[in-house]
Amino acid sequence: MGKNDLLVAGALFIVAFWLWTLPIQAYPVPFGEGDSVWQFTAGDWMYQNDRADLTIPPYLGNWYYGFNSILGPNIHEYPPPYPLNSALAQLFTNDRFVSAYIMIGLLSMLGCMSTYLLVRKFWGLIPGILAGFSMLFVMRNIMTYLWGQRGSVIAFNFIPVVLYTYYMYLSTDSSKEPAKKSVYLFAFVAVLASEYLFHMQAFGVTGIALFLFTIFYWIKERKFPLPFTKNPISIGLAIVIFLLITMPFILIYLGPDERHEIKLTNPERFLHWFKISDQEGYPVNVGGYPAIYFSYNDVYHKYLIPFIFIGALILLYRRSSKDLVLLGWLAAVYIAVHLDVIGYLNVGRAARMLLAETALFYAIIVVGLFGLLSFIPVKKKMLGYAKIALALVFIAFMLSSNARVAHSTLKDAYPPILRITPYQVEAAEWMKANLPEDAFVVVKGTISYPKIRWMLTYSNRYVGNDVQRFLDANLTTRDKAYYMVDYSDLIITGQQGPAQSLLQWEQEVFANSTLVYDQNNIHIWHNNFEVFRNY
Amino acid sequence: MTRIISTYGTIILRCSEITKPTTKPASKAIDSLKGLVGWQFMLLIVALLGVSYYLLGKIGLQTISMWLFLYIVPSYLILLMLGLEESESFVIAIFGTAGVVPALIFFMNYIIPSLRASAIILWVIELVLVFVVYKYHYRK
Repeated sequence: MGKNDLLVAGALFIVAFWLWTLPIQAYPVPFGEGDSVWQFTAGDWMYQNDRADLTIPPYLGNWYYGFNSILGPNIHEYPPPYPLNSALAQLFTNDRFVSAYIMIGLLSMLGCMSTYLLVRKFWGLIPGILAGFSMLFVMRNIMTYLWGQRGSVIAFNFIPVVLYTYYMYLSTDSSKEPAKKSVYLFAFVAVLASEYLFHMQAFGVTGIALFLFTIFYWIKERKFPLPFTKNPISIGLAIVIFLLITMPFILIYLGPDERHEIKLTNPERFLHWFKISDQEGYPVNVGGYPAIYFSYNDVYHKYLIPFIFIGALILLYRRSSKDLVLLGWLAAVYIAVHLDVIGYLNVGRAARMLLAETALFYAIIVVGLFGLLSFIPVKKKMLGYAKIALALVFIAFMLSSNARVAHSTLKDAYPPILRITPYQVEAAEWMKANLPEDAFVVVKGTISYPKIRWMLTYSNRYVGNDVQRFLDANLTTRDKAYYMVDYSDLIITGQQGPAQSLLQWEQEVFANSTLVYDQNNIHIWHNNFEVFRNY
Repeated sequence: MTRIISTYGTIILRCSEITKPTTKPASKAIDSLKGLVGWQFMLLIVALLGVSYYLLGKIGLQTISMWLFLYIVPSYLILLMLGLEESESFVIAIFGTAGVVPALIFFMNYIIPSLRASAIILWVIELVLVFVVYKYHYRK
């Protein structure tokens, strides 16, 4: 069973790899919003220098998140091992973009693997396959991956494995299998430390889930589950290893100085799972996320939502030690998504916590489906057939609903015009070769904000919407400022009107300036202009 | 002349007898590793490499090879030899190495002034660890 089980896990992995790398298969150019550019560029800097430390280049640090209140300017937003994953892919392929995006896609899709492991080992092969398979098509995770908050998608994927290794550590009998118990302990440490290195929020939710599960397990077993006195050396060594891996990066997490006033706001939200109708920006955008991010019909399916309740009730009714893992996780997510009510997080950050919910809810849905089946009084053999039939129906249902949407979303994500074009790449490469390293470039005319930022990555120069704020803060001087007027997108998309007005504006503003670049309908101006923003 | 040939013949025969016992444990070790890994894992590796090449060409193949051989295979073998099951070894290897391997390379990079060289040295250390676990834990 064990070795064939590996084939199932492998098949799931291969399907996930095919699906989640569709955006880069379709068009081998980087994609995503501003965050994706930022996170990619942090790793890209390591690749270009074949070196890594806590710093990032000034052209990236000047953008956002570069200032750490403890370590100073130009410091990583995330622990460097996270972007180092993509840098390693770049280094060993000598390819700057596709290799990194393969690595990012691979790490982002892993929710299916962790959910499969937990459900398969706790409740059997068929439930495991269904839960893992469902995680391939979760729109909330897919959208976050496409937009670019990849550190959080990856980190939240860890939760099921962390809980699994911890449960196995607690439940393995040390008198019968002492070596195996230690293996689970060190596996738990490795997985938990890895999660910490990707994103603090997921680590926080995991910490709450581990704490609550330990309490539940303690109550159920009527004895404290952590064997501090039985094997203190193993536990002590595990703690030391964990601290050695994680502590060098603690200042990165403490530095951003993101503070909120701790006060109770709208406690009525405690009565809802995650209410958005009372939030600013509703129904279009809440906390930086579009409504679809919060839509339970889109993330799960309206026919599956009842099974979340049924599954939760079954877990509460059974309360086996394995059920307690999911109950601890459920309670942890409830706490995490309500941290905005007490003011600990803003709504945007609390909404990010919803990523911890998808694997949990799919695990609960599967528990609900198969739990209901176990209540039907039929013979064991018939029950086996019923399980297979149910699995086939479930897979067919997923393929015809969630899978279809997920596939088209990933396949059609960021069409060529919404990614940096060869003309813009050429201009960015010219900037890299010809502009001073501390140049600041404003861009006008490019049709999307991320494309402007991708020029930052390609050029290794600060490229953005606004240089005025740097001039106001005396962080640069006018002679370091350049202005790019980009007609290339407007021409490709056939927007004659906006192109004409841009031309008129350009002739007025840069009448006395020097044109330093003029290729493919992209102009770069220097000196003698008074406008340092693109709005 | 006959004596010389016979002497050399005896030497060659003796040498082959001497080499026989040294090859036996090696082949036993390979057989033992084959038994440990199983054709399923080999198939998975081949399938992953094939799919990555089919979908993403040479860069896909190189990226997945790097990930498999630097991250997954050594830790998978160690976990397997330490008594975990195949699928849990595979999944735990994926998650346990995703942060720890680059973290170790990051730390080594403070001493070795190249990420690429640090990664290669870490890989050698991983192979040594696999051998140590095999020799002193698994084979026993």
